[in-house]
Amino acid sequence: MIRTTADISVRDAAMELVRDNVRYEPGIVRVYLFPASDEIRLVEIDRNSADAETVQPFYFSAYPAGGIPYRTALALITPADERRRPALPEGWPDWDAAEVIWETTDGTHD
Amino acid sequence: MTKDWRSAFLAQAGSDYDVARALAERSDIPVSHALHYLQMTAEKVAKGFQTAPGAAPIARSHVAFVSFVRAAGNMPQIQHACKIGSRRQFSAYVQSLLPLASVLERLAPALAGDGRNAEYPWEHDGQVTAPVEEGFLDLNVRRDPRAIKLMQFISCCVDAAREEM
Repeated sequence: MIRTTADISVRDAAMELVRDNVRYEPGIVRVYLFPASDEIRLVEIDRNSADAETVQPFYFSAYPAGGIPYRTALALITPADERRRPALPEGWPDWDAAEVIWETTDGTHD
Repeated sequence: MTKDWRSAFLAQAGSDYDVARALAERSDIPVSHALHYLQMTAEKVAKGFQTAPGAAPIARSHVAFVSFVRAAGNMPQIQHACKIGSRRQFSAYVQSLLPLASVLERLAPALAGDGRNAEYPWEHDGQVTAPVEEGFLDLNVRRDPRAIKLMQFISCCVDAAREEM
């Protein structure tokens, strides 16, 4: 399934990626999408991740052959770090601009 | 000539990995040398992927590899590089790597403190040991199936990095 940026929006591509991630990663409790026109910027709140002073994403190239035609910036932080809203990478909008695109309803993944 | 910090880190990681593999195949050379290069590969893979294209490098840190493995476990291009068809299998595969990834990460002298590492001698209970004398049974990339699996995963990440260069 080769896709181009004309085939899918950043948000929809992010939703597809996150749908798979939360299915197989039971530690994820919430996922934020930070707005950007040409990059998927995700912060996943994961009970199993390590403490971090700042949000430091890993950047993965676009993968059109796998249906993701945008570069992805993905960071995993703990719920405790989420509460103190750590500093974001340069150029990202602040936490208030982020959209929660997925979260557990009862703290578990059924 | 590499273009930016990201590609430079990833290029160096690829070369470190090639040396690690060559050393792992030489049974006449202590396994610590292969692990030294594998630990450096892991560190540079993580730093490379943590650096946005065109951006300055992040602050120096030795503790990014385990976080990188967790993040990579969410990415279909890494799954593809590992040639694992099912997402469920890929997630289980990555989860199984995490304990040993942490052990490899802590082989960096800066994280090992005064303990076991792949580069400098250390003292434990009054006994001084050189890395070349240590068997590294849990990380023996020639014999231990879990260590071999971790090395294969790092190879997949190097392949994914080479794809983008």
